[in-house]
Amino acid sequence: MSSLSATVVAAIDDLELAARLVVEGLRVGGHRSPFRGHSTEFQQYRPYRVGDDLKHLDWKLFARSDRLYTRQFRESTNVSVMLVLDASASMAFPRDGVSKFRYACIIAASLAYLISTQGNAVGLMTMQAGKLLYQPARGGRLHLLALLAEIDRLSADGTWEPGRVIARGAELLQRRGVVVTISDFYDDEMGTRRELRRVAQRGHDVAMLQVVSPEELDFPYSGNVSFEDMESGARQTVDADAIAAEYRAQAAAFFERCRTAARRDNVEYALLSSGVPPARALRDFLVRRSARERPSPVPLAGRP
Amino acid sequence: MIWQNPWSWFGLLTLAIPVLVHAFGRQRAREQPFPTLAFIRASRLTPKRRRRLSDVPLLLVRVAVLALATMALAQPLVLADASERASASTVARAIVVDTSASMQRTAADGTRAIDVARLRAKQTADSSRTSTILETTAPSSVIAGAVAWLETQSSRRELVVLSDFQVGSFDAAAVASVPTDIGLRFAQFDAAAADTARLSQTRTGDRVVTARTTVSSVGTTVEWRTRAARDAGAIATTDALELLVGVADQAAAARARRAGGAPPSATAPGQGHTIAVVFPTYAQRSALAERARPIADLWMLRAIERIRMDSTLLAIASRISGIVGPHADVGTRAILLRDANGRPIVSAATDSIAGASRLLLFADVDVESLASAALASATWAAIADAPSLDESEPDRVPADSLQRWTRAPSATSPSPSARGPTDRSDGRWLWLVALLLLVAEFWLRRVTRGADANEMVA
Repeated sequence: MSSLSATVVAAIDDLELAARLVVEGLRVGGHRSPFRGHSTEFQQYRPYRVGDDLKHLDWKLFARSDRLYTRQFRESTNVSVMLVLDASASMAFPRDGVSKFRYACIIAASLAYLISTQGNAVGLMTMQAGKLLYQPARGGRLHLLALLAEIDRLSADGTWEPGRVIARGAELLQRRGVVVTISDFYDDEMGTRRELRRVAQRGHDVAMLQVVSPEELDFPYSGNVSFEDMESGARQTVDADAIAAEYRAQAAAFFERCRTAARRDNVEYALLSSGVPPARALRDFLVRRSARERPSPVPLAGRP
Repeated sequence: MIWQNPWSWFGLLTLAIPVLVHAFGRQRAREQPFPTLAFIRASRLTPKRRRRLSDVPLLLVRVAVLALATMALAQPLVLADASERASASTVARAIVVDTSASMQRTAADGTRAIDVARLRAKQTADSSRTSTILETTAPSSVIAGAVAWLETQSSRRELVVLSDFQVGSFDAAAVASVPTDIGLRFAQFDAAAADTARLSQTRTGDRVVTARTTVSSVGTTVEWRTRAARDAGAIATTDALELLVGVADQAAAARARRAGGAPPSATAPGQGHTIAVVFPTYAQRSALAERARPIADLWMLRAIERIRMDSTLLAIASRISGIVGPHADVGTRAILLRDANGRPIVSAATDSIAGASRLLLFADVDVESLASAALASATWAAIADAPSLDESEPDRVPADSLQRWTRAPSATSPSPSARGPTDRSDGRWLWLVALLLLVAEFWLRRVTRGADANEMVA
């Protein structure tokens, strides 16, 4: 199944349908949630496969049946995921085509759908028109629909205070959970980084999804262009050909800075180009996340 | 195709404007919202100049618009057959019909040239915007009146002369008196057979003398052929009188040689002799004067004697004063005639052409004066028992002269204010195309702007 392109998915008005399409396009996570809770409960045996942790082998069963079985545990407790979404004006770029904001909304909706259908709780924290907008992390289909409707109502304008929104979102998670921040991270670079680090240090599982448009990466402009900052309205008239190389270097340096800082701060990082089909972007992110060594959700072994 | 307003071509200079604009114009900065200016340095605040022509298709369209507008201002007029007919009907015409006696002669088939001419005049008048028909026995005399009438007309103007164009009825002077913006058209009618017009015969004693008059732009040559009446088939001799007036041409020289070709054996005038009267206006007069020798032949002396005895010539000469100029020096020439002041006005010498002697009479009188007429007449009388002038048929203005004088009515109107609604130009089509191109330019500009926007998205 090929991934639906960003344009196609973005063209679907019904955000739930878009999210379902994206999630159903994923090949991972069908049985194993990438968002695993802490408490575990034995669920079933499964034939041993090379690579399984030996501590999960049921030796007694091996003794009885001469076969190797791995014990699988079901996450009995839900994990709470807080989606932090950037709805600032800079996300509205580009004005025509798939904007970064629409792309971010689809990613957020898909994540919410995936998390919710796997029995976890999902919430939303964002800032609209200078006011915090909050949906508590809960499970259930009704909550999911309400959340998707909330995301659908959002529009990208004004500015946001990333530090405050992230901190508040993490605060409102009652227990340790997952904080997924979706933004272009242009605003308050240091503050954002500091807040993400602090949230991670408090034991949350923090992910940083940086959404960029291909135009921001490639800078396909030429001639004299008067660039207008979409948030501040400031203007800069330049010869685009002359500064293109410098721009690309600067932008690449910025993304690299974000990536290294995230790794250092134990924050999961992904750069999502809005030109890439959302399903593929999401799958890549989830595959990396599943493969990632995480210290906390170790299933309890040795239970009868 | 003619261009009625050629000065408009200077408008082509405006083509430089779009070229310069495209070559040196600064590109307008495009508005572009962008998420952040953090990576856009203000290092190049001043956009640099482009080094190559920008947007060549747009430039071409703009140049074409200006070129077409210039062409339209030059007021082109495409003269296809149909449009020419249409344009002919916009001309005001003054039609001069010659009603002289020669036009009224009845030809062999019973028609009269005057009737044909009148019919033609009516047809021409019908195809004109306005017209007037002037009937006259002397076309030259009404030209001034016709021109005066035409001057009052605001449209294109043409003077049409319908005549048999006998010499004297219409000449270069009359043509010159017509302003150049008035067109000229001539219709020549054959009033009588050409051959009889040129020749006249006289019987004198036992000889038949045939006079043949040839008018050219150089002068008038009268040739007499003398035959014995009893032996009608054999040409005895040819005499010739050449009145050398203007610029010599090849044909005249050839005629002179032919005229002098008869054997000079006879001693009496009228037996194969040539007399040339050289007027001051004749271009090769000085060359002839240098080449001339003193008179030696007897027939020449006799001819001179006869001319001297001409009472009319003598009477006129005693009342006038000749031209005083470089030609007045007679040198070794024999003086025939003196004017009232005693200055020589006619002197004689000889030269030979093609082996035959020719009597040269150098006249220091105006060609158009009475004295020259008298001189020609006296010479004529001296050379032979020639028929009198009034019996010979006048020659007609050569067709090539008429052709040369013919001209189309000037397309430009006499003045911008007099330009009537009939003034035509095919420029409106050019304006239409220019307008369409202007729309194309507008569209192209928008497309270009759109392409810039797309480039941003792509």
